[in-house]
This record gives sequence, C-alpha cells and structure tokens, in this order.
Amino acid sequence: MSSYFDLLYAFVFLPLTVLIYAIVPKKHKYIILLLASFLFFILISKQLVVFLILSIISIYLGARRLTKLDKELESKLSTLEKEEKKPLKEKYKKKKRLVLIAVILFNVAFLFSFKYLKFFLTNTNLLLNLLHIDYEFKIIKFLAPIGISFYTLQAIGYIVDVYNGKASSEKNILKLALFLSFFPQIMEGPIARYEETSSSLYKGHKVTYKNLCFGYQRILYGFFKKMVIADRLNILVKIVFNNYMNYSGLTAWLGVIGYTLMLYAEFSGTMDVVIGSAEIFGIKLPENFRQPFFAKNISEFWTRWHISLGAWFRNYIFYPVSLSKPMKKITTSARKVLGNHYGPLISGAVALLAVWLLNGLWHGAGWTYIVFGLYHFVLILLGSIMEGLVIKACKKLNINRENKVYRILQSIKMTFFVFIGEMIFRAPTLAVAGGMLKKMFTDFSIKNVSLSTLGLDIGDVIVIIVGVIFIFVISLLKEKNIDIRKKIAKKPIYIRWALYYALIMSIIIFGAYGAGYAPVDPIYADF
Amino acid sequence: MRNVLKSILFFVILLLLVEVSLFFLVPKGSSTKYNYLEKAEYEALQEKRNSIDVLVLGDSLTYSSINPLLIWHEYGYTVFDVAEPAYILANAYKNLEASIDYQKPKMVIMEGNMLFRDPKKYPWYDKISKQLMRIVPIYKYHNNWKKIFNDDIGSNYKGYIFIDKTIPSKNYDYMKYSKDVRKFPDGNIDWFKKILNLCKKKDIEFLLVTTPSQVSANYPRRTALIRLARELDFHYMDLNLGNPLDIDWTKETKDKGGHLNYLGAVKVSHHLGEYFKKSKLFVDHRNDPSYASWDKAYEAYKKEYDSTLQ
Repeated sequence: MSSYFDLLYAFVFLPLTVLIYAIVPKKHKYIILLLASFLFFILISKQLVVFLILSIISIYLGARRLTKLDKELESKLSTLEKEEKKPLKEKYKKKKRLVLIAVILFNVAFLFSFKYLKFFLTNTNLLLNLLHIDYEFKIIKFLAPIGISFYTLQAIGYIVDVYNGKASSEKNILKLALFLSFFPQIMEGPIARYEETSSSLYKGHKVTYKNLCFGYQRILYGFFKKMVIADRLNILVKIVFNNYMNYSGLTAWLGVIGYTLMLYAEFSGTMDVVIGSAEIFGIKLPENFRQPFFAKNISEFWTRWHISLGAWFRNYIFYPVSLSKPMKKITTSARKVLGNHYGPLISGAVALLAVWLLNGLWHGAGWTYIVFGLYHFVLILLGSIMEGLVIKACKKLNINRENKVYRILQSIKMTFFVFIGEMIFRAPTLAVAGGMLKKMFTDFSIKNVSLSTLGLDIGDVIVIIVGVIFIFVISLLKEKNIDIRKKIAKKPIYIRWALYYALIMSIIIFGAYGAGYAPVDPIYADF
Repeated sequence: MRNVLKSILFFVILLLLVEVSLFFLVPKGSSTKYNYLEKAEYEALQEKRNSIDVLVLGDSLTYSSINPLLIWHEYGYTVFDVAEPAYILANAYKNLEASIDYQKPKMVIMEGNMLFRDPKKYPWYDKISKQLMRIVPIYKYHNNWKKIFNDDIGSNYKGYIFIDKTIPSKNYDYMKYSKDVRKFPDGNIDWFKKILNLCKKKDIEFLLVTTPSQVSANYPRRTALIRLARELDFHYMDLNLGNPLDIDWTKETKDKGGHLNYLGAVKVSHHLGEYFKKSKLFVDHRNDPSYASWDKAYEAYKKEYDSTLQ
C-alpha cells in the first residue's frame, strides 16, 4: 500500500477496518482506529514508526506536565494574597514556557533532520566554498516517515492549545496517539485542532448505511479527480516542465495551467478520499478546500485552498507574532505617523513575512519553495496596501465592486497570479522557473504546440475538458450553498444509481491507469 | 436486511455494466470461435487471423525486453509477446494452444525464466488477483475507448509493456562460472515437452531465449538449460553470458537489474530482429496494406518513447 488511491486501501484495508470497527463494543472502537492507523503507518513507513511514537510520547508528557503546572498554580494561588500572586504567576508562566519550548524543539528537530538537513548542509557547503573555507559537510539525507510535516504541525498546535488553555490535555495516551495518527489524515492532513476532532474520534460511532454510502460517494469523487484528471494531466505536465526550453511560451502556459489543475485535482481529490474515509466511521474532519478558484484575491484564495494549513499558520504564527508586545508597540507608534489604515500594516507585514517564509519552507527544502512563499507575501501585502486605493478608484469611476462581471474579473486576475505561483512551486530550480517565466511572457510562437508532442491525444483532451467542466459545475453548486449529496439522496433510486454508475464507470474506463500512464505521486505527502 | 439486498443488487448491476463495457473494449479480431473474455486472456486472438510470424511465450522478462513494434519497424516481421507477470508453463501452454489455433506463426520463442518458476510457490493472493484479472480484464483494456470505433487495430503494443522507470544497478559479472546445475521444479519439464511437441506437430521452429537479467540469470541456470537443449534437441540463445548486447545496467534496467527498461528492450529487440532476418523464415510485411495497423501501433510507441527520452 502506498497511498489512499491504492486499490488495496479502498477495497481491503478500509472495508476490513470498518467491519472490525462495526462489531467491536463502542468503548473500544477508538482502539481499532488506533491499531488500523499504526498498521497503515507501518505498511508505508515501516520502522520509522518509532519517530511517530517518540513524537506522541513527547507531546503527551509535555501536555500532562503543562496541566500539572496549571493545577499546582491554581492550588497555590488560592492560599496567597493578591500582591504575591503576580510573581508566582510569572514563575509558573516561565516554567510552562520552558516545557512548551522543549517539546516543540524536540519535534521540530525530527522534522528538520528528515526534511531540511540536506538543504541546510548543501547551502552551508556553498557558503563555505564562497568564503574559501576548505571544509565540506557530508550531505546526509534520511527517508522521512510519512506525514511528518502534517502530524508535527498538528502536534505543535495541540501542545500550544494546551499551553494557552484552549484545549485540555488528554489523559489517555492511546487516545492522544489516535488524534495524532488517525490513518485517513496522517499522510496529507487536514491538520486538525484537538477540540475540532477529538471527541468525534473517541466517541465510537455506529457504522450506518447512510455513513457508508456518503463516505464511499465522497471517496469515489476523489478517485475521479485523481485518476481521470490529475493522472492524465501528469503526462503533459512532466513533458512541459522537463523540456520547457524546447517549447513555445504558449505550450509553457499549457503546462502551467495543466499543473495547477492537476495539483488541485490531486490534492482536493485526496481530501475527498480522506474526509470520505473518516465519514464512514462517523468522524467529521474539517474541510481543506472551499472552491478556491472562486476567490476574489490571493489572500482569500489561501483561506479556501489547504484551509487547515492556512489556519495553522494564522493561529500559531501570524497572531502570536503580530500580537506580541514589540509588535504592539510598533503598531501604536505607526498609527500616529501613518494613520489607522497603514499603521497596523507594519506589524501585519512582519507577521505575514514570517508566515509565508515558513509556509514556503514547510512545502519543501528548496529555494523555489522559499521564493514561492515570498511571492505570496508580496502579493498579499500589495493587496492590503492597494485596497484603500482600489476602493477609492472604484467609487470615483462608479464601479460596483459587488457586480458579477467585476467579481469574475477579480477571480480571473487571482487565478493568473495562482498560475505563476504554482509554476514557481513546480519548477525543479529557480533557473527553470525564471526560464519558463521568460518564455511565458516573451515567446508567443506556436512551435511544438501539437498534442502529439505533449503526450496527449484528442481523446485525452476531451476527457480533461469534460472532467474539469464537471468539477467546475459541482464547485459552482457548492459555492451557491447547494448540498449536492443531499439533493441526490432525495432523488428516486433509479436516478441515484444511474449517477453512481456513471461516476464509477467513468473512473474505470476513463481513469488514466495501466500501460502508458504514470499516476501522480501523492504530491502533498512529500511535503 | 433491505439495505444489504440493495447493496448486493447494486454490485451485481455494476459487474454487469463492467462486463458489457468489456464487450466493447476488448479488440474483437475476426475470430468467432472465442468469446471476448477468451480474447482478453489470449491476446494473440485479437490480432488478424494468421497475421503473426513469431509468438513469444514468457513472463515479465518477456514483455519488458522484447518489443514487437521495433522489430516491425526495422524488419517488417510481426512478433507478439504472449506474456504475463509470473507466468507459469501450464498457463502459457494453454495460451499457446489457443493462439496457434488462430495464428500460424513460423517460430515460437520461449523465455527461459518460466522453466524455473515453481507454480506451487505462488502466493494465494497472487492466485486470487490473477483469477480476478481473468474475469474482469478491464484493467488492461479500459483505455481502448479511444479506438472503440476501430476494432481492426489489435492490441496496443502487441504484448510489450513500455517501462520508463530506471532504478540503476551496477555493471558487474553476474554470470560467474559455477559447477552447479540448477534443478527444474517438479512438473515443469512435462509442460515444456508439451509446448515443444505442439510446435513440432504444427511444424513451428522453436527457440529458447534467456533475456538479460542480473537477478534471474546465472551460470547454474544456463548450464541446466544447455543440457536440456541437448537432451530435447532445440535451439537455445543466452543473452547474458559475457553481456553480448552490451547492456548498461546503470541506465537500462527498471529495477536494479531485475528487468530491462525501454532502453534495454531496444537492444534485445534489435538482436532478435537480426536473428529473424538471418533465419530467412520471414517475409517483410511493411509494404502490405493489410498490416497498416502495425504502423499505427508503432507510431504510438514512438511517441511514448520520444516523450520519455526527452
């Protein structure tokens, strides 16, 4: 088993887990989920499960220690006079902070060793070379456990929430282990908060016919996105990005648009499988996508694409930085000089820079990811600076910003910027990204634009177009708050079944699998 | 209970739909004796009657290293790989029996690896998945919707599977001399004799080949095959000892020397093409319009080859 799209997962692992989960008594159901989660992890990452266990133990001990310190403080405070309380509180705050930092560092150290050590050593060697220092670090690269970027963030989020009193520390280590390793979400998220999913994970829901149907429907939709669209686009994307220099700018655009669609179909499709899998057990995981291409601007795009990652950075990086004491001081001074609109932008910009640098780095250890992060930082910051001016200009020109045409133009502009961002993201090096960018804006010739040079035929193009239109219509209905699954559920059985058969048969027949196709590797699982 | 019955009905209808779609997706050829499921299993039946010059029996070593489309393009001979992963001799015999009932090959080649495969050691899940593939061969044929209106084209790559992966190995001598002689698993020689007799009965030339593989080929196996060839009087061609095809194991293998990739397949196919030419058994069909579908198949292969090479 290598991913959620492995048939072994959908037709053997998941059904068997559901079966055992259904027959086990309610209070032990969570143990079945935990065992299945560890089995899933071991099947993919084998002995690297040790690192997951170490993370779980560290988080568990850290959180319990924080709760113990809180209780100690509480009991001591009740016996003290008012003036004695403040220093004691400070003392305990320091103790708690020490625990928090130690646990975070312990977990980040694993993440750094597995993900960033090679990048760090390579760049250090380059620097030493530039400085004519005759020393070279040996480059080490470890095979990372699956989902380390995801479960580490979830673990850090949990311990910070316990520190801030927003989550209670879990007494049962097995339950905490399940929260951090739940198999549908361990590989690619969503990165959930403890209060969001824990009770649902431990409750031991009944497996109902409705949950089974709804869960598998969602899984099927994910398979459709991945196998019919993403895997088919993979051919075009690989060819264009590997040989952009042999193609015209128009073909480069095709590759970039293809990649953005592929990434969306792959990642949102995976999320459908993930959320659908959890739904079968009666567990509601947070949504990770909300029709991102309907966003008005880049800032809003990131509240609709990989929502849980954006929320994590907002809660654990943006707010702590922008609301920190030094930043508050800067904001107060800046307000006096720059006014109420531009004054708070300075602390916001610093926090935003931290968010996007880390966001870029989280996606991978490479300069393209760092530039990808900085690109979004600049776009979002410019958006905030310009907003006041745009509003004024629209008022002057009598343009209604709620007008449909204006909204569509906003989404088109936003999508254009997304394309550029994803191109930087996919390019293997900054030089390739620069070369492609130059081609896209300077070379408008039509050499090598034929389908055959792009590894596709007319049949592939028709399937891609029809598939994308299908996803677009579903997204449009969702955007209008129409619950499609509930609507379908109310239809007569022959209509429902006809729709299900159409979806299943389209995956079976039009899926890009077998000879001549190379499925997209789980893109986000590598981050 | 109602929901259970509903679910069963749902899956029965789904299976029927898959079977109906297969009826359209499996290339029909012109045989009426065999139904579409048999044609799915015995792929040479999908080709035009009596259009195949050489049938190659074998396992994954065959479909990864012998490319009929290259031989077609360079020499104009029609070769077809009758090969399946971990194929066993009993099944290969049945396939050959059905294939030569419909085709009239002048030569049958067998890849030697099958002789050493013990059918009893098949894992249970492999057996189940193979049976499933036999009943529901949609995995192999789903993509034929692209040529649903053209049932003349036959199988895509004539049994060959394009492998673009490269997991390198090292160039070393894996055929070091040894006094040992590898034994054949029980029953395999009986099935092999049946294959030989069938070929003799139909007056078909037989050739045993061991294609390059650092994992499957070794000296004790080679000795066993040479002795067998002497005993049963057939030709044996070893493509491993001394690396006669100059395989670069750092670039031309898909899995650390286990199988060749598309680059290695070019060398093996060219070598066999030359062998066929020297045998003077075959006619060049390239100018025969009734073989036009082979050109189309070659074009599709070339496109994949070029895009992979880029």
